[in-house]
Amino acid sequence: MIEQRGLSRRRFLAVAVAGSAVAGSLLIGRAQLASWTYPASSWAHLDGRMAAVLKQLGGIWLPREHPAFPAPGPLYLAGLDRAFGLLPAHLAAQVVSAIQAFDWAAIVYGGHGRPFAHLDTAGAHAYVQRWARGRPEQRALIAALRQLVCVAYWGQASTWPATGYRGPLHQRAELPSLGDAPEPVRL
Amino acid sequence: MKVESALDWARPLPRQRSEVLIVGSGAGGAVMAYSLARAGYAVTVLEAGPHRLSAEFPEHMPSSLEQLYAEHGAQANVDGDITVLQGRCVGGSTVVNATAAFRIPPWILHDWQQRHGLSGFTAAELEPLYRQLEADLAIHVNQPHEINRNSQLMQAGAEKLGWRVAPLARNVKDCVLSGYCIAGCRYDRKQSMLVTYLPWAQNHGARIIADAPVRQIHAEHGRVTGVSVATAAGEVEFAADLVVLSAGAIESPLLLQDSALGGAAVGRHLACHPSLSVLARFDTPVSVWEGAQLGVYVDQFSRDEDGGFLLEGGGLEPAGFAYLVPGDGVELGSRMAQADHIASMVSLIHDQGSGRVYRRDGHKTIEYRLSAADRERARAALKAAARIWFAAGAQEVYLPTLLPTAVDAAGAMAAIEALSFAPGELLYSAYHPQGTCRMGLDPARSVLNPQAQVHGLPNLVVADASCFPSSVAVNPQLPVYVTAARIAQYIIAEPAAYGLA
Repeated sequence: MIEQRGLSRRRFLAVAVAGSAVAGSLLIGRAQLASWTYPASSWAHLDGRMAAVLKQLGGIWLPREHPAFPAPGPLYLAGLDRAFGLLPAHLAAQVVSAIQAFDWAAIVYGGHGRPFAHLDTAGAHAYVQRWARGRPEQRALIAALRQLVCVAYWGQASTWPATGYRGPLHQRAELPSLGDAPEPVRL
Repeated sequence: MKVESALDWARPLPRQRSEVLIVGSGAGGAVMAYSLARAGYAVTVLEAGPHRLSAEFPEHMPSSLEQLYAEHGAQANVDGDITVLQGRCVGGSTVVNATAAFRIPPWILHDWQQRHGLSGFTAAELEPLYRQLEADLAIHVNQPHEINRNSQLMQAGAEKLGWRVAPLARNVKDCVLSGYCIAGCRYDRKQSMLVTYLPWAQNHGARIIADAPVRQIHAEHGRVTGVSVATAAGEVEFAADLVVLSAGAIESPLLLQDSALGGAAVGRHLACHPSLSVLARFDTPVSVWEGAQLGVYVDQFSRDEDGGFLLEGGGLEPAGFAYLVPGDGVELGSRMAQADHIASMVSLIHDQGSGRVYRRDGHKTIEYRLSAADRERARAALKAAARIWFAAGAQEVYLPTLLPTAVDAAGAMAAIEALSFAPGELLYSAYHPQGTCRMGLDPARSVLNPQAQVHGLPNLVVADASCFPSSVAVNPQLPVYVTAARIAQYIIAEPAAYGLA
């Protein structure tokens, strides 16, 4: 599902390498990076950093303060956790690296001085906008994450009433299946 | 229909044998299975994906992607800007297509005959096959009740501009207008291979095995001898007189490459009809998710000299298009609160086959970038789609850029002209990979001869969208059916030439 959201495995790797290079070139020490902590994860497939990054992205992109829509809560992260769980192991490892790179690179990229997940909403929004105007690898990551975030959120039934969407037809109507079609008689 | 699952094999089966082995159960494989089983051959169909019962289809696109699509909907090109969507289940992409049933345009057939030597693919030769298929699969032109509000608006806009617009033909019987075609039809109204040619093939003795990914095709002394299937219990060998490869235009070339068969052209010339979704907001309700998913099409521009693209009206539930709606936070919320006022149109580019499929470090790799000519087609398609929506009365149009852009009637053309169409700038979907094992006369530039046999391997046939010599310029469902039916005719007419008794 990650790739369906627009980012191939090679791009994840490229983003990861680029992000690490940024961090490395500016001599951000491991100790300094390690000083930023994340809440322990209760998810099966998302670690604490990934959950924090995706929560931050949800805060930017999703209508958390719109009166018609629910705030992106645990169900939103549950959808993302499920999506990550479907990834093959080698790709999942690259996704973790890419998101880590995206998070770390905020320390120097744009001069924020702290990882993405630790930025305030305005800073996080500016950082995302900058990536969206960046190199193809950066744009691809933003596209993939935005699609993933939107699908996870708008796929929740609690968001549907305000859109006018009434949900799956089979939950509203009893309609018979025609089953297998009869084989035509051939002369 | 009774389908075996290789997951149920507790230990490796002894060597299996069938006169005909068909790899893949989608549009090509199912038609081949029925045609050859009905002709009296012992047929076994090996499907890599699972057998999903239609009663299990969730009518929830995120879940459907997980259950029914290749890589759970995660298949994409290297650049990550084109999602390549294919079914991976018994019935293949026919289970999850939008049911559009176009014949191969005559100008495409003419090109195939003239440039690729496909002398047996004339309109006259195909006509009786089309008639049979269209009758078998309840293919009919959409009636007025099957044209939803979204398509009505598209039709009105196109007519106002004086452009050709017409109802689509679809393979649906007594459509319930659920709007979930590409999530699988829970009501078996879509006449996919799952409910037609596969059970009919079984009526004639065909064996269908799900969860059975073929790892290699075996050949010796210029003939194919069978395949090996990977199962949890170990590898199972299947011997056959004839192997038909119908795994689709991504997996078929990979399997040939994994087997070191087919030559240098395998996997090249990938076309995929890259599609851009163009949304528009109206001041009256549209409810794009209700009714037949595809209603009308505009083919004013389908020929190369006219533009090289097709426009079709169709949409999804909110989860399927929210990422194409502009704005962040409250702004996105405000637009999504009017989601039932949003209309959707897809542009389908008749592309030139500039892509390639291969393995890198053991992993499937889809290299595809729009050529310069295709980028201009995409630009022209965006402009045409925007013009239709504004002519129909849209308040604003949403361009499918990385972070979507809202444009009004005054600024739309300039905004589209300003796009570079560089990789990653726009978000495409591609439902129609094709051309990666193409037919032709020259073994250096094609994989198959005009009778669909792999050059130099007469009992290995490819029958799916990969065998098209070029993009078919329309949704390839019916083109694959008719191509497979034609190839089956060849086999039945001259079985010995294909290794059969």
